[in-house]
Amino acid sequence: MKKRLSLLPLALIPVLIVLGTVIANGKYLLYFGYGVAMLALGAFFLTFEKKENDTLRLVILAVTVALSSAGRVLFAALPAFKPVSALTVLAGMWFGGEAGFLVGALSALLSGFYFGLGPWLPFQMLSWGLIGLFAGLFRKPLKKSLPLLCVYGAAAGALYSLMMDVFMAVWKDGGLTAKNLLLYFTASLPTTAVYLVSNVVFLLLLRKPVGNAFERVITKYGMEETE
Amino acid sequence: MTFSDFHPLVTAAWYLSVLILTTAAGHPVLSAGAILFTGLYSLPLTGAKEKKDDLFFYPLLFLLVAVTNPLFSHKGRTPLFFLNDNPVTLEAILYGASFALTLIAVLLICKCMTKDSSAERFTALIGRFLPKTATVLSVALRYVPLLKRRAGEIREAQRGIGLVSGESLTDRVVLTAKNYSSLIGWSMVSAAESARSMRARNYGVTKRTSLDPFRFTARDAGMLILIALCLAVTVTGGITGALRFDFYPALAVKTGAITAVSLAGGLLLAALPMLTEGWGWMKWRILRSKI
Repeated sequence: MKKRLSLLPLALIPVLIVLGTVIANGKYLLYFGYGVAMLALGAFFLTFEKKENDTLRLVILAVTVALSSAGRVLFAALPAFKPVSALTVLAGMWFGGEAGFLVGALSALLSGFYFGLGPWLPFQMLSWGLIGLFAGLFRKPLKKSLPLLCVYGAAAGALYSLMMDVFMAVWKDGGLTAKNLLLYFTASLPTTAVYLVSNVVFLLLLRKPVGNAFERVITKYGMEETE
Repeated sequence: MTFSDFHPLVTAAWYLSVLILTTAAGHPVLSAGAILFTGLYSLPLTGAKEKKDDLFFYPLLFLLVAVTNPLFSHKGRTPLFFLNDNPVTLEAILYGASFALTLIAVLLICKCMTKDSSAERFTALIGRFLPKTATVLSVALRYVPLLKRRAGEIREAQRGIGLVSGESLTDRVVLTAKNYSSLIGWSMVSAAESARSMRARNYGVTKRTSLDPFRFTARDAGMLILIALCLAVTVTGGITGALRFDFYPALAVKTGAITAVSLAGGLLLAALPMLTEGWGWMKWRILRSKI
């Protein structure tokens, strides 16, 4: 429980962003956003470094990262259908919130090397990381109810898309207002819809086989399940 | 000699400073300079088809951003005409164009970054501070091509026993997801095997050393100092307000000697990779003609 609480500061980042909007709306908001994202990522990875390392855990997580990056290539025939979010959610559910964050953030980084890095990278890493983190925190209800998992997948797609919209609004207009956010949100509605649908489809298709594979590696090779 | 021959620290410093400078200044001269120099630098890095796509994509992006901004933003003092009772202002058009330049500059810089910074360079860079994260990344890097090969094997095996997907989208999604699941099951077990092998060879028992194939030489130090100098000149200009280029409420451009010097600093910074490349090319030409 204590360990889980140490992850809470990361979850507070969206709150901080909204606060920053109210207090520091204007020219410096973009730097504020980058600062928050980098701090959150830095805090996470430094905590991860300090922890006792279990080799099996490291390698399993690395392979999960590779699987989600390779997934972007393997599903190349189906444009915009990418299993990264679904795999991140599943990793969070089975291996814990920390693992979920790690898989999400590093998948974003690694696929950046294959598909192109951009100024959105820290925000992309953070959003995918948070998707995995929350999946880990709510793993019990998510494992129990399939409809809830689908709702979570859809919400994750919306969150990811919203993060990118906020980034774009702040960068271009130097500030965040309900009006310009709404504008970017409507403009990106088609992409958001694809994210939502593909997340739900992949969660439905992969939940059982991937869940079983993760479960199996936990029981068969004695990987510690909880963080 | 190419720019990516420098130590990862040097190239990372250049990319970070030029990205931050271009976005933070938002100055059209700096953005246009960055587009010109990184565009030239990216020429030998991109293939013919990609060049053709870029020539289509970037102008289109420019037009799109420059045209849509005045439709949504009605700030500015000089209305040119009215559209649905909303003023279309000169300032909004100019800001749209300037922002489009910045956007394209950033995209181009990031494109070059993707081309000439391999993940190996990145892991070497973070290996000293974040050894565990670097390990996870490099294991993942090794697995990506392996997984692609295995995915191919699974596909062939499926085809061999007569499981061919239909033409419809649902069929393809379901079959790919099924193959993907097999791949995940397979990889989990082989990952456990790798971990066991690593443990058998005492991974993580002693303090870790990191493999760093990159040497930091005097040349790297020189380049780093040059980057720092350019950055210092431009940032000083930016702080003193010499780089002000305001669009709203009315166009206000700062000019003068200090502005010129700080702009020159920023432009030189943006040109460094291109100059390195050009220097190497010239040397090659000169040495070759002597033979």
